[in-house]
Amino acid sequence: MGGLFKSSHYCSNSNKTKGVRKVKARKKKVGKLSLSRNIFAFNMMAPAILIIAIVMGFPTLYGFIMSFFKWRLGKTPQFIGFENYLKMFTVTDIFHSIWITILFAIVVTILTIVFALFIALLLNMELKGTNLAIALLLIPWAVPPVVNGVMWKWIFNARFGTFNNVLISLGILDNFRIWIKEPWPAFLIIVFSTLYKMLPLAAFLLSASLKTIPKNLYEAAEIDGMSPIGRFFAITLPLIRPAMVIIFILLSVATFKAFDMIFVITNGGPGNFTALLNYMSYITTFRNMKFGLGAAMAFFISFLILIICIFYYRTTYREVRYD
Amino acid sequence: MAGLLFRRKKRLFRILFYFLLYSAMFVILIPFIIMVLSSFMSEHEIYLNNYPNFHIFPNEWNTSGELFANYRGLLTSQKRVMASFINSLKIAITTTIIVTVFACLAAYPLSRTNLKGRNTILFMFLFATMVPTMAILIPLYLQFTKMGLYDTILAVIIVLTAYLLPFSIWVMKAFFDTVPDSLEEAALIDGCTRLEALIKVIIPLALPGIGAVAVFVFISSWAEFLIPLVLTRMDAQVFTVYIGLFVNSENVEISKVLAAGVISCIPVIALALGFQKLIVRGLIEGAVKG
Repeated sequence: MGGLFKSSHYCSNSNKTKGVRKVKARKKKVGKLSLSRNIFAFNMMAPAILIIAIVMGFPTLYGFIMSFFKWRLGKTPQFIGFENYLKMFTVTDIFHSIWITILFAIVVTILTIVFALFIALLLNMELKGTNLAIALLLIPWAVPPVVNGVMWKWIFNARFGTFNNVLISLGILDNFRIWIKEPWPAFLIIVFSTLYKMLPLAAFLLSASLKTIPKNLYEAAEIDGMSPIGRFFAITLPLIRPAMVIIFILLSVATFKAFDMIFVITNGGPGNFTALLNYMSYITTFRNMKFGLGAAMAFFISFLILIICIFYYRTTYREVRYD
Repeated sequence: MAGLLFRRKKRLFRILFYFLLYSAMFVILIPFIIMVLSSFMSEHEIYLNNYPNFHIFPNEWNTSGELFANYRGLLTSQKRVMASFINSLKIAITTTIIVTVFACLAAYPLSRTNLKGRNTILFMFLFATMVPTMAILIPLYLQFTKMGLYDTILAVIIVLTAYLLPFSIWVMKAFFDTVPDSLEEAALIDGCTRLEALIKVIIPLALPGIGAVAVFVFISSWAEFLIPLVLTRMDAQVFTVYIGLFVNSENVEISKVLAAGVISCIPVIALALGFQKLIVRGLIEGAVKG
């Protein structure tokens, strides 16, 4: 991942040389007994690695094994092999949940990147209010997702929410519509509130990436007579592609973990419509008390995330190679 | 003539961009403003506001004369508000301290040495950020219940620390990388131990990075919902969970929930606005260099 944001890095066709140069520089460090250094290094990293391994590594393994057992609270677990996974596909609305989770990930990722790019471009134009804009942009990011959800639930409140009332006073709507109880509007509301939360982060990362594009490229293109839109597509987009890939990955993973908004706004939506996989897993485990099944669902999510990462890795790797 | 037209066109575009930027900012703030304003109104006032005519700017929003009625009602009638707020605070502060210290310790060898497993460890940390929370929460829930740690602040702190460490180590390492080796070598030649070199040389220079990590961890642990939802019930309830359950309860007065939401935002927004330069720099460095 080193230095992927720098567009100059992308232009120069030697990722490898840079890496080797970095390693060589490091080797000229303070020359001490490598053994004592290794022990020392290990000691320093030990607390962190220990906690992560114990709290995250071990349960993941345990959970993975557990997903092959049948668990009921109070009874001893029985080994049932893949039955949980097979049973998972017979849970009501599970296929809908899977497909709507994927749709959610795609829609939110694309929308977030488009809007974030828009804002990042504006931020980079050296307009006067940029610092204030950055400060204001941090507010949606800092606010807890639950409160974000409450905000949006209130706006889309059927009787008193701003959305309905504005639409009615403008004459577009005749009667109060309960948006949260309708399937696709509920989905869009969740999409929108997640978008709202993710926008600042993506905008900052894209803005940082935009800053690394050397200005003379634009000037050269302008002299050659390219229109601003042409410049955007020919220079800007290709050069921030590494950044976009990283943001794609971060956003996709984050959307698969979406839970807070669903819990607060729709509670799974009209009849499980907005019950994304993570939420399904929670309900199965802690309301229906089916631990093995819930664990299987959670690992299915990890499996999907893994596929996405492999997919993105393959795409980026190929890009860099053919350059 | 052509030059003049060109300049005017450029200025028009400039004005357009200003307009776009400011309207984007305004749009981003609107939900927040609505929440704050609504939190000051009682149910009756909200009703008056919306019916028969909707007022964009609330006309009668202070009829009872007391602005913070909802807040006062919240703090007095619901005893759990104060308790969960303090729990959130305890958890956030403790997690921040622990994560910052551990991340400093772990990032030092990752940034300075060239161990064989270094890249593997770094990538493992990267993957650790991609684990869906439920996958680790289910076994952890069972384990903590067995150990008697269910519904304790300690359980939440432990899990949050492990959850937030990978990203913090990445960011910390990126900041440590910006400190040149020469100063550290000079300190070592002068007779410091490695630990002293870390504390006396690197940390003062990487202080922005440490500050950025601390702010991230605080904001993230304050905002965490699923982990406390699973691992706590009544004793160790955090404020976010309180709001989440409150908003879903029967016959709830929405304005009270909004007031709780505003209260929840105050610490994090204060932090975010106070340290904004640090946060932006931290985000960028963590992603660019990492």
